[in-house]
Amino acid sequence: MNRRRLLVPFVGCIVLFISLGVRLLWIQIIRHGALEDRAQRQHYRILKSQAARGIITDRSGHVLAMSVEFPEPKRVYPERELACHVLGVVGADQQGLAGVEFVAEAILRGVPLQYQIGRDALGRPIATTGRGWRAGTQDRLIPPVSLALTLDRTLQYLAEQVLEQGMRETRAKRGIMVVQDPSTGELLALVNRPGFDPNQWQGDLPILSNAAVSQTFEPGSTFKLVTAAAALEERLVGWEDRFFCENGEFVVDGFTIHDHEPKGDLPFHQVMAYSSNIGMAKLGLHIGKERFYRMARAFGFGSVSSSGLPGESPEVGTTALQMVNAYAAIANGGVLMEPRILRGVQAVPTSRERPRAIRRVCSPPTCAVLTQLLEEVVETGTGTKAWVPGYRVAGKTGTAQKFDRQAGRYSPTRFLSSFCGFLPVEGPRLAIGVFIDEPQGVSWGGEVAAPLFARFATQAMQYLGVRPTSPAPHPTVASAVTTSQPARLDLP
Amino acid sequence: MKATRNHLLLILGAAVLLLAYVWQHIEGIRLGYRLERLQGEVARLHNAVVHQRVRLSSLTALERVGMVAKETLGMRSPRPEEIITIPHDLPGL
Repeated sequence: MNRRRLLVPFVGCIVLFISLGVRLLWIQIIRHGALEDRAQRQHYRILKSQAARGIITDRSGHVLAMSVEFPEPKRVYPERELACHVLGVVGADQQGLAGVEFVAEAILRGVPLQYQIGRDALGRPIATTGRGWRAGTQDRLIPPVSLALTLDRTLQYLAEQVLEQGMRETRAKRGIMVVQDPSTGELLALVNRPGFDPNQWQGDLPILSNAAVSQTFEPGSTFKLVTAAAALEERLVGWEDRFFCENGEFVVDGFTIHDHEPKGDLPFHQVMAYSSNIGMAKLGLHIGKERFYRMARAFGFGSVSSSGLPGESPEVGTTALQMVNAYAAIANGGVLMEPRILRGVQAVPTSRERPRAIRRVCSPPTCAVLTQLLEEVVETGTGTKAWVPGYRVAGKTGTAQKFDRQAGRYSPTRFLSSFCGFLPVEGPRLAIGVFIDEPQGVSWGGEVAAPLFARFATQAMQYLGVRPTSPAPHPTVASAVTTSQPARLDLP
Repeated sequence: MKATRNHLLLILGAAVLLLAYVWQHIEGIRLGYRLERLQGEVARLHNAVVHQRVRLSSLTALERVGMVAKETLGMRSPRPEEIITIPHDLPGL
């Protein structure tokens, strides 16, 4: 009896324990995965965010563009208008729309972040242990990428100041200045004016256009470098070979070519120094169009230069960047370098970090003669106002009539004035191009652009600490100023 | 007597182990709270550094420095004859 009475609770206990065991088996083994997931979902929380957009700096690490939380992400350009066309802008979604912001979007865009935090029963954050981490979670603080440009902030600032001053003085419509290191192809300054403040940009798209790389123009006499290079490289002309310059007027294939100053017989070096259109046209006819075209292509005209800047034009015609790059090739002894704007990403070397030679354009002896020709332009020719005290300068003036599409002819009043050159001649540090679009009043490149070249180059040499090598005063700086009208290409 | 003492020591040992386990668990949670606070602080300071860097860059912007030099300090650009170029390759520099 007693045993039967004890058997009931015993069996009850057994059933109870078996039930508990089964439940335990169900929870701990069969449903383990699902229940653990549920527990983790309640305890841990996955947060998603975006690492800050990358920083853009100049070649020395000075910040040119950076993102901050205000509390929404905001792109800030501390130097305001400085290098605005190079930097570009970002849209409301922090995506690059123009300039380096656009072309380097893949580098600058902040990586998406996903990280996990733990929460207690009251929802307070608590650091997770290793057990709670899942694959794919990351550190929540990833420093932004730092993208260095080849620009030098100080040279950029000096170039902008000089160009703005020049544009005020000449009441020009637009201005461009390009400064390049001839030995590496690195762009040290690239200015377009009028500029804009990227912090205040309101959606005006045309103002974003980087005319230095995207706008083609008829270059005028700065292009005589190509004709001279082709002739010298083919040994078709000598320093003292004489050209009859037809006393200022020459008709070829129905086109009348004028010189700004009527000349008779001129040796080749003076044809260049006085920028005789007629002498150079005769040399061009002697070279032939195929050789001329080949040399123009070799200098990179009519093709994209892979500078790393968007909107570059491959059209026939030249851009400011192509023209300066051609002069830089003469400065470095004949090698056309790839113009570069991106210097590198943090400490990681990029494929763009090393200077890259595109091709040899002409031989060192040809470059030596071309340099002498260009130096004479500054010493006694049309470019005397580009003279920089203490330094030997080589360069060429250009004054191009602009084509009036509505009238269907070259405008008699609208010009593009330019000066391209390099210094110091003994070991060129800078190749510089100044382009002034539609100056009012005097339009000569030697009067409008050459003084700006000199003003900038003087400051740049001091900033770079380049030792002066030419102490003698300029021999003809005051006497070579000309006041006649620019050369005109009359259509029949 | 000896058996009782051994039992007591065993219970004591187990209690110490249990306490140690509970302590390290509580300490882990406490450090978790502290770590989370510190991570928040790191994020806040990082943001402050970014703001200060932007501020520094804005204050040292060449356009601003030029404006302060001219308008506040009454400085002017030097004339060419007032400039002495010190070459970077000069011995001793």
